[in-house]
Amino acid sequence: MNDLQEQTWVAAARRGDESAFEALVRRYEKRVMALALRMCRDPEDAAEAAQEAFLAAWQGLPAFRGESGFSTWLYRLTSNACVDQLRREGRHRSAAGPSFNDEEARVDVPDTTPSPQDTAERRELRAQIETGLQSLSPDHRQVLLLREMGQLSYEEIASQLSLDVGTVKSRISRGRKQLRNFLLKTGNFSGAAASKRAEKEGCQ
Amino acid sequence: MKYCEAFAALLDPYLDGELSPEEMVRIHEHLDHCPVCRAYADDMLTIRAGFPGVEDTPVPVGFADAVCAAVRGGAAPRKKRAAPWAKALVPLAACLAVVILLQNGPLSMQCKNAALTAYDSAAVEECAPAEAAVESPTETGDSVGEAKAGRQVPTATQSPAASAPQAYAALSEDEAAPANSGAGVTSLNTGDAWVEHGNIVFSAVVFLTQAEAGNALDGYEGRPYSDADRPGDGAAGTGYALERTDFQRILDQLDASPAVTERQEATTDLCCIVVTDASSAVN
Repeated sequence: MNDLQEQTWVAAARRGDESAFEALVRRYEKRVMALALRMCRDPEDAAEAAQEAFLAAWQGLPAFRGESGFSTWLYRLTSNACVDQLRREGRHRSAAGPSFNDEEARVDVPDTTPSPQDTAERRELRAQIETGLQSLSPDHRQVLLLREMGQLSYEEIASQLSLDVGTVKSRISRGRKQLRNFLLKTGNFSGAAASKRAEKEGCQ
Repeated sequence: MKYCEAFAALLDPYLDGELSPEEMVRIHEHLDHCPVCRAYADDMLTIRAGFPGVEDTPVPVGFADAVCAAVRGGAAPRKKRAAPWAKALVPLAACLAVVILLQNGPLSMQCKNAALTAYDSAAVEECAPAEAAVESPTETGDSVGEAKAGRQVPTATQSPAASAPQAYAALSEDEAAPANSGAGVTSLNTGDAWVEHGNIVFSAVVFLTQAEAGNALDGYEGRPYSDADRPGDGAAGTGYALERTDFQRILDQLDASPAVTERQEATTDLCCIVVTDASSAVN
């Protein structure tokens, strides 16, 4: 999120403030792990890749210029770390298989107390997303929920809904765009700053 | 709202971790130059953070502590690693390469790639069998590192030809960057340098100042880089030869968008990051 709190942490961490970086780690560890689990499947691989991603972020922060949001940048580092991890361990991206089994995981109970402002912002966003989801067609909503909440892969969603992967992809894509448009139009969701300007410029 | 036609199909799978490494390279390259798609990615990840499910992701106990311990301990992320079994191939390739180059003129791409390993004495040094093969990620945190320590994994199924080039930028496994002890590698006549349009033409090259590069290339072996087409420039800097995916990954880490020069006349698939001493990058 592009909130002020996070910007402060990023700025401080760029200057070498380890505590600020720790705050970022705690904020993002679940998201990074979610992606790593998606790409690596094996929880040990995912954990290693996730750690590598954060270490790469720590090392790369001084040169991070904020052309993209911090979360997008971290996402990118995580993707790269997962590719590395799979290659290092001689594995390929998994073929369709059972989802990561929650019962086998060691679940961490977060002990960090979010600041009141942080909680309010998140609650706000979540409420708007819930409203936005209601504005989608059931088909679009369903695949988006399976993807974002259920953490299922395209293959798994396709299998569950008896659709082909192509249909899943296009529904997710359209659903996302609709949700984003809804949030931009109705709420306090300002979106990435570039989007308003870039809307007119388009893409080469 | 306009979306980029060529990449629209890739963006959502990218956000969902469904792309192949090659596709990821393309999307990363595109994101470097496209504010529209970047904004889309930013927004979608923000929205994702608002979905309740993400907060239920199981994270290993003590994960954040382990990361922070590693950070405080001065850890750096692992650099490029060659698949362990690929290292064994390097000296053979180097021997072949020397023989081939001394005997023949024009080279096939595979021979060129093999030939280039001869430049990289660090890759040959790594082939000291016992030490190089064992990976000991002592810098990683306890809870995630221990499970992996000492694991040798010769399970890769990539073909040798595809993997051997990894050895170019390969490093020794331990973080204390070692000096080359000269494991008897025979340098070719062209010497220990990259001469663009002289002994090589990289498929892509980018120039970074030392400040821009920071320590992203620490541990990689660089060689003096110059361009035969620009004799007046002298040695433009230090060149680091990398596979495309690693080249792109390092540029990603910098989160800068330096101009990348693609060369149609390339003699290799390798790309080169040139670190200059100038205050502004030379193109």
